[in-house]
Formats: sequence, C-alpha cells, structure tokens
Amino acid sequence: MENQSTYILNLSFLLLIPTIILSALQESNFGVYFSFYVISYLTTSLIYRPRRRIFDFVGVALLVIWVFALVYTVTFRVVQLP
Amino acid sequence: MKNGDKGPRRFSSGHVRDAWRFGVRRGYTFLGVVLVLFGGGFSVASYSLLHSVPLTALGIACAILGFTAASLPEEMKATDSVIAILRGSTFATGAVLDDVENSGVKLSQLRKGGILLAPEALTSAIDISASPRYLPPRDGLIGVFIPVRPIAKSTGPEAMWQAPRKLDGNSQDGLLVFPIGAAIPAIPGLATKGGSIVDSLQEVLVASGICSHIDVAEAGNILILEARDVKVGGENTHYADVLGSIPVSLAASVVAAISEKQVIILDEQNEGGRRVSRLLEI
Repeated sequence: MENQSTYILNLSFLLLIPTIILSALQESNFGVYFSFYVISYLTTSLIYRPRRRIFDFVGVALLVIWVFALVYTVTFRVVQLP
Repeated sequence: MKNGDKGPRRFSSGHVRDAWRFGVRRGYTFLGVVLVLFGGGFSVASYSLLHSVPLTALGIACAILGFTAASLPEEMKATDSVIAILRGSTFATGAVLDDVENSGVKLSQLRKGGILLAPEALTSAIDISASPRYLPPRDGLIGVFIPVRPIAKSTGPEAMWQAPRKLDGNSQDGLLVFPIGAAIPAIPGLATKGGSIVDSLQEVLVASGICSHIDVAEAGNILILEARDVKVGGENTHYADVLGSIPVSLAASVVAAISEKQVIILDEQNEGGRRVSRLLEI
C-alpha cells in the first residue's frame, strides 16, 4: 500500500479510537479530545513523514490552537484563584 | 448502425479502471474537501443542536482528516510505459555483459542478501578491485567502468573513461558501459556537487513514482539506502546482477552525479517491494 494511503488510514484510526473510548467514558471536556487529536496527528506525521503540497499547515494550526487553549485555560484558572 | 460504429458505450471494467486512475491522479483532494465540509457541518450541528461534545469532537476529527488529505500531493506512479522503457533500457547493457561473459570473462557480481546494516560491516572483507564503478559525470553523462580483471587502486576515473565500450580481445582492464541513469546529470534542478543526496534521490526515485519512499543513512563514505514500495522490476537479470536493480542503479548514478566520486554498489537485498543496498563512495 502507498505511504500516503497508510498514513491516511492510520491517522483516521488514531482519530477515531480516542473519540470512541472517551465517549464511552462519558468525557465531556472537549480539550481532552482535542489533545488526543493533536498527539495522534503529530505522532503519525512524524512516523510517516508524507510529502505535502505545502508546509504542514494542519500540524502548525493544531499546535497553535492547542498551545493557545492551554495558555488561556491556565491563565483563566490562575486569575480565578482567591 | 453504420460500419465502424461501436454502438452505445456500455459500462465495463475499463470504466472502473479509468475512474480509479482519475481518482488516484487527483490525489486525495476530493476526499479532503468532502471530509472538511461534512466534518465542519457535523460539528456545528452537534454543538448547536445536539449539545454533544463527543459528536462535536468527531466532526472536528473529520475536518482534521480532511485538511490532512487535501494537503497531500498527487500520488505519483510510474506509468506502465515508463516501467517498460526502464526495463527495456537494461537489456542493451545486459547484452554487452552477456557478450563479455560469453567470451570467458567472469564479471564481479553484487552480493545479494544477508546485508548487515552496520556501515562498517564487511567492507574490509569485500574485494572491490573488480567491482563495477559508477564514474563521476563527464560531458553530462554517467558511465560505469566494469573491470575484467582486478584494477590497481591508483587507476583514476579519467583512465576508466578511456576504456573501450566493448570487449576487444586485447589486454584491456575493463570496459565502459552506460547505465539506465546515464543522463541523470542533465536533469534540470538536480542538486550539483555538494548538494543534498537525499533530496536528489527523492526527486529521481520518489517523484517519478519508481518507489514510494527512500531512506538514506550516511556513515563516512558508505551510504545505506532503503527504497520502499518499489514499483519497477523485471529488469535484465545480468544487468541486475552486475549493475544493480533499476532503483539501486539509478540511486548509484544520482550519488555519482552529486558527489562527483566513483560509486560502488557493495550489496543489495530485495524483499518484495523493499530494496536495501550499500553504496561506497571512493
């Protein structure tokens, strides 16, 4: 099977499986789901290193959103402290 | 119905094949756009109407997969014509090698199988004095000097380029043949001396669809190449035994063109669509 096909197939599994497991655990925090997606995406991309049309904008976008959300959440929690 | 009129076209396996080829050429763009649109709509609907976090997350996952699929380039595949041309081009050189061996000269053959991936392994045990050498480019061409007897270490590439193109029966040290990658230095945009060998191998082997992935490990003057999902085969047996299989021969030509050194293929291992080989630059 082509490298790209294997990459897409494995990525889809790695995105689907955490969704099913977390859903079964009745997890309601979207951040948990998103963190798993970011880790799955970066891990798969690192292993397969597929050729791309342009730079890996998906990885960059996911990482930026994830870091921004993390900083925002931490800051929000710190501000809320008595 | 007039003569020559084939009548209404009917659905056949050829249509399926054409549709598949069309889809492959287009890469995953269509799949990506569909997934992005579906995932986006699904997540918005799940969040606003169903208030379900798991379903929203599932929609986002679809969108991520869609963006990823859309960012992948067209799947490159060597066409059947290109594969046939590559195979055919090995037979001309193979015929020269046949003539040489028919005249009683025993040519050095590649070691096949049992490669130890440690770069230094066995290199001292291999006698390279009779091994074919991919020569640095001259006049935009790569040549291979095939010794018919062990040559002195001091023999330089200039002397090898002067070798006759066939066995002339005189006391020659070897003969010069042209591999399938002889014209590789003429590829526009190929890295020049000191450039990236990996990028050039990607350009020649992966972008042309000969294999889907190539890894290179470099240790000193030894390169270990691993080509995965090789799509060309069926080359002339004699060519493959002496000058390497098509992807390895092309890789040796690329390395000779970039490094401007003599390149010897030490050994090659074939495992289905996977080829591992060691190249020695001297």
